[in-house]
Amino acid sequence: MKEITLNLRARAMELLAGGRVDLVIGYGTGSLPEFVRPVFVDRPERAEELIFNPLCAQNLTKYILDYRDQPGRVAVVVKGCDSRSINQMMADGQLDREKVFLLGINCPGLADPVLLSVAAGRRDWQVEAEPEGFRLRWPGGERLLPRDEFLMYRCRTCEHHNPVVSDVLLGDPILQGETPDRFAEVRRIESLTPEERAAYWDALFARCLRCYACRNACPACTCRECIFDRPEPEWVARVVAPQSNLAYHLVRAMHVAGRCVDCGECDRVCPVAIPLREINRKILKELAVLFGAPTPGTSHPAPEPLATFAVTDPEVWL
Amino acid sequence: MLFQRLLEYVGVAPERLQVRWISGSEGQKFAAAVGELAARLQNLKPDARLRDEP
Repeated sequence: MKEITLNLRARAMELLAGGRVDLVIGYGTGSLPEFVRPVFVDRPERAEELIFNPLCAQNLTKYILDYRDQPGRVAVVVKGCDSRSINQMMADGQLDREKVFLLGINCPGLADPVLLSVAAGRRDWQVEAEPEGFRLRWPGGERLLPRDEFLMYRCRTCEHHNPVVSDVLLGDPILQGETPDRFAEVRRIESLTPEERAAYWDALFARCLRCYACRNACPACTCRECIFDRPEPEWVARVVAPQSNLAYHLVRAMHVAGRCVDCGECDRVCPVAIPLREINRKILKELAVLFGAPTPGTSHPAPEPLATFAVTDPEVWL
Repeated sequence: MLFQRLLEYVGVAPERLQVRWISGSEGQKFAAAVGELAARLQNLKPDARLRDEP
């Protein structure tokens, strides 16, 4: 992965120096060992700030939307999962492909920051991905952690290690084996009784702080005025209560239905660890069952079952 | 249909949702559809999760 970082810096420098882009959005070192932060590189000499390591989890594509109406062009670092958002933004008419330069990274899978932190047991480590696992290094020591145990939860069911859309690709292409079953947890929840399902979700939604991090991080949430922010009419009550939390989560999921690319950002950013992705995945599963639809963003253009009518559509309510 | 399945997934009785295409000139059809839904809801217990007030 060192090599990816070096290539990334070289590419960024070249793009900025040549005036081909005005800004490079990528990952930089964070203030704690287990976190990286987004960096916005606007000069060639700042390209040194860019890194890529197994902690680079953020889907940076959402930041592009802040620059799409400005003159110039923005480069952004995308992993396989993030690249689906680019396709979906184009399908939604949110993004002009000419406005972005995609620095694609063939990503073998990221490490879970919390597990790494616990395994390290100290505050001065760094991590590198190696074929056998994740190597932790600290002054005077190191440890190799098995990949299977420390792989980030969302990377365990990765559909695209290699970006589906990009302008350059960094790192060796990764053989995409059979994707493990993404819907195992959805099926487990479905197998519960209605009362158990209600209790399961009520307990989770009761934790919700209504911080709207899931909405803000979501690359499919692109409305300038969100219904959850509108004071009048107040479609969903802002009070933190079981009823309004349930309504919020159902509405949020339906608003991204058919456009959710399953990048897992909502799930990752949730401060109270509500498994939001299992709600979105229920929808993805039903889209596959009802319309045979693949994960949105897999290709562009792609069929959009919820935005088009076909006489063959299943219909139980006419 | 998707929303109904989602409701079922979070433990809300799917019978609570009904969608029908009814034109403004089809008053009787509308009345019948609402009557049918109301009759179906009579058989269900109240669901506190769907009330406005906590």
